[in-house]
Amino acid sequence: MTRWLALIRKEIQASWGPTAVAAALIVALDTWLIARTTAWRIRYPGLSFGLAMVPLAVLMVWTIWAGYLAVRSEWHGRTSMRLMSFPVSGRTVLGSKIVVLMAQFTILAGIAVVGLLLVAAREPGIQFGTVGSMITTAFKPWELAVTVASMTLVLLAGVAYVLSMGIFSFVIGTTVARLSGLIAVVVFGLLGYISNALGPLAMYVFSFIPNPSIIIHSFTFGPGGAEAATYVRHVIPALPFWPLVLGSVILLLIAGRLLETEVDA
Amino acid sequence: MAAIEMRGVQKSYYLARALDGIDLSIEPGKIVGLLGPNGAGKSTLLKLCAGLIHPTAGSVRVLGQEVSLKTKARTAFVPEIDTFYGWMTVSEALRLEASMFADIDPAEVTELLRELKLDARARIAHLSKGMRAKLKLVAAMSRKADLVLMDEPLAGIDPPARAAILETIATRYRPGEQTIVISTHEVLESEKLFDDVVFLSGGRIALQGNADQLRVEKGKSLNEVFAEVC
Repeated sequence: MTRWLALIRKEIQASWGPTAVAAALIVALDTWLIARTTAWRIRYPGLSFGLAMVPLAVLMVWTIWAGYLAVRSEWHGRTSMRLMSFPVSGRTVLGSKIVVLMAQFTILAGIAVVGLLLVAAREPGIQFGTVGSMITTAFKPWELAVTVASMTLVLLAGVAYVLSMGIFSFVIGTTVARLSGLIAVVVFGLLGYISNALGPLAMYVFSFIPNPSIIIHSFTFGPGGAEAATYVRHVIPALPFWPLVLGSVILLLIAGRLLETEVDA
Repeated sequence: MAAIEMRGVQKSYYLARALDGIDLSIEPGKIVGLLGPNGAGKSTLLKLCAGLIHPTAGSVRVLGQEVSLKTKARTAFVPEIDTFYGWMTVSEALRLEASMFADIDPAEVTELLRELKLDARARIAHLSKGMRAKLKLVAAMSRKADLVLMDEPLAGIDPPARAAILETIATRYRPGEQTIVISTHEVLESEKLFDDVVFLSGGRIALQGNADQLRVEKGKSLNEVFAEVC
């Protein structure tokens, strides 16, 4: 545990600089968008809101590469040999990487979402107050909490799975002497294909155990508009959660085992 | 119990065979020279002992056990290449080592840094090759490791730094308690350190034995024996 924490500290040390820069860029963009919203509201309605979503889109793309790059940097910097000469298992090494990557994602996504909400609140096209009052009317506070928590869990499980795919692909690539980058890309593509093909089956299998729940309300407006809307409550199990968690664990365990077998920087 | 025990060890990288049928037993408590030209299989042999790679065939036992996390905890591996994180300072790198290995002695770290004139606040990326080699030595020799594996510790280093490294190995070595295996092809400077030597050539053991006995038997220095055997 102490060694794992030391590895996490090392990963944080390595990544806090880029994370701080990315966070500052998101804050700067959102601040600028908030300042421009009033000027743009007539000529470019919705533009500020659209641009405020860019950091989230970039984060999604970053997730695809981040796992791959996190392990690649150890080979590129030739530090993999030192890392694996420590008395720690491969899964401990990869576990520390994925935890810090997910923390990075959570911090940056959190900042981006807050920025998006602040921009949306100033957009005339978005009836922020109406949406807010509809949510508070329809949802009991605990329902809202459960839904937000479940959606966050599923999102993080998805991020963990994509990061694991990147890590796994890179580690497979290192087992060959040449064309390791190409092999990693092919493995990543294959994993995506397999995940897509087996996903529905996995979700069906895991539908028999408790899953995080997402509560939604369908509504119909009454004659008095949004204030007179009638709501029907639906509870949807977040079926991708367990398959994503299990998939991440399996990929990291296999990649960790491979790391222990052959490290030739 | 041998410090290193290898039986019928083969290691292949695709079609190239790096080690071919190595049977080797290294007694504990000695400094052993692993000598051979480039490509003889020295680094591969050390990596096998460090648990970084696994043999294609045969068995490797270190400190009486199969190579595992337990043996890694008792082994200090000094690779030929620079494997420290360039963005870390010297003290940060050594703190990471200390959190990984329980046998590191903080007082020894301070003493070695002073002796080798290494600035603890210096960023590793800014260190010269010689200073980085000294840092590797500090990380290894400040530990009470039972087995120290050094892969070409003198390669590409200027003469004063080489002398400092050899001096540190000689003074910090704990005879009888610690086994040090040093791979090198720079035999002339380092031969006075060795109790035993193993000559590797083409992935096979060409000659092995006690350093003094070999000198007497052959009537030559180890450097001359190296030129003859390898």
